[in-house]
Amino acid sequence: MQVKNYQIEIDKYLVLKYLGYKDKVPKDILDEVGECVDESYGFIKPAICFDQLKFKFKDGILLPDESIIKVQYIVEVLKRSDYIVMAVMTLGKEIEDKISTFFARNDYMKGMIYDVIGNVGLEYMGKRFWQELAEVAKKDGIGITQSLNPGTGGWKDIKDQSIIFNNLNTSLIGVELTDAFMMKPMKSLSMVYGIGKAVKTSLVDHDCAECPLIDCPYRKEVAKCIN
Amino acid sequence: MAILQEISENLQKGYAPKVTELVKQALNNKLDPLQILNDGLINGMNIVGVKFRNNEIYVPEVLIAARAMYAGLNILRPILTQTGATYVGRVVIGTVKGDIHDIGKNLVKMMMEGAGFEVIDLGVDVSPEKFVDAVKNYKPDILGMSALLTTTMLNMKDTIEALKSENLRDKVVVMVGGAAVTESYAVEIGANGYARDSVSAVERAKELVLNYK
Ligand code: B12
Ligand code: SF4
Repeated sequence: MQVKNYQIEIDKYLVLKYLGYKDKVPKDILDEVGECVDESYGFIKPAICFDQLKFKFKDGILLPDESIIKVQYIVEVLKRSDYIVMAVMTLGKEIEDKISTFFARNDYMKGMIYDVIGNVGLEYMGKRFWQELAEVAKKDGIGITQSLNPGTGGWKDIKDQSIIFNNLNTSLIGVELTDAFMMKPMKSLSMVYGIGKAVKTSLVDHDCAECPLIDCPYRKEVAKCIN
Repeated sequence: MAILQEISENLQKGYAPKVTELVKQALNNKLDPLQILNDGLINGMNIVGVKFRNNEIYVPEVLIAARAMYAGLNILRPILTQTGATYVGRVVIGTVKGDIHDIGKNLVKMMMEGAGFEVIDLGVDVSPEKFVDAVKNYKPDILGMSALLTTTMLNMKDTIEALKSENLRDKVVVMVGGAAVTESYAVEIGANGYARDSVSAVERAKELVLNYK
């Protein structure tokens, strides 16, 4: 298993977009978001842990620890892979505390700005990690699927989070899975990718196509989306 | 009254310092604090809610208006508490056990306060027992529960069951919401109301309080 710390970049225009701005942004808001983005670099601590795992195709995706991914859609996407990569990434606890502090002070605007900054940060990280894997795969002449996240889109069963957590030592990046399958700290994501000769490289790191939440503010039809 | 109209308009534009100044001025003019609250601040937030509903404005505009609302509320609240002025209703709200997502719950709280409800926020990871105790202690009109995931939302049902076994279920209106919650789930567990966003939550809360009071 590997652990990596990341440098991330927060696109303030993406933050504004997810906050709801379509085109014209008032100058004071633009400045406020810009300041928050600059400050956020001080307390966002991006880290990721990941591992490569071989599997057998038997009643689903059978992993070395005997756990099985059974969700049909995911099995279909992964079954042609030579191996899978599992990852958990986080921005750390400080950003969560910052968000809570602003909400507790009734400064809902700042609380929301930092919340969205966290989501944009995770989106960036997810995309970067996928691109890195995709580059290596390309050099090896093999393909990579999009990122698949338990509980989201086609991966209906969020309880499969435990499969990822049983296979990674996430304590090294300070992430834990609760009994209700929620990750602490909040600003964390888990994912699986399939890599192999028979895999056609996905055009995007994640696709919202399988997700029924058509009104979701983070929805991306073809390109990047956060989970 | 022109000044109340001005408070409402400045609140809608999110001019917090101006709202502060006008609320102080209205108090100096010996206007009734409850009237300043209702016809100035709550009126302004109401219009903001309607505009949001009609897609005329977006979340940030609502949040900036809320900033202005709290600027006014911070001045009025201590006075209103002294005079014992009543609220539209009392809400106890929290994120259910096992769940630590509170953004949605916070936004609902904000809009409820902006509509004149008194809101007691129990925070996150609130067990059924804690919700029951809060219903006993605060005697709210509404109990609001929020959950992000399908796994944590199951605790909403447990809370409703806990209320039943303490004979409290018919004493309080139960509202539920959050990313994973749906109208049909709300019906299935026997909640009184569901809302998909904070503005609808307020509208539903008002209806429910009117019907149950
Ligand atoms: C942003 C987001 C994230 C972000 C931030 C989460 C956070 N809390 O910080 C990040 C990227 C970290 C994330 C991660 C994950 N997410 Co996510 N996420 C979302 C997303 C896109 C928006 C959630 C949000 O913040 N909305 C904004 C807030 C303001 O809205 P809200 O909380 O829903 O609250 C509003 C209403 O619901 C309502 N409301 C809320 N509470 C209440 C209470 C009452 C009483 C009432 C009346 C109304 C009400 O009013 C609020 C204000 O308008 C949703 C999908 C969606 N469109 O909803 C998925 C979603 C919640 N995520 C999901 C999943 C699966 C995950 C992950 C497990 C993915 C993974 N494998 O890593 C992780 C889990 C994270 C963890 N810590 O455990 C699923 C959950 C499905 C399920 N099975 O439970 C969703 C629904 C997406 C999906 N495709 O299905 N996520
Ligand atoms: S970003 Fe929104 S639409 Fe896209 S998969 Fe996630 S929840 Fe669904």
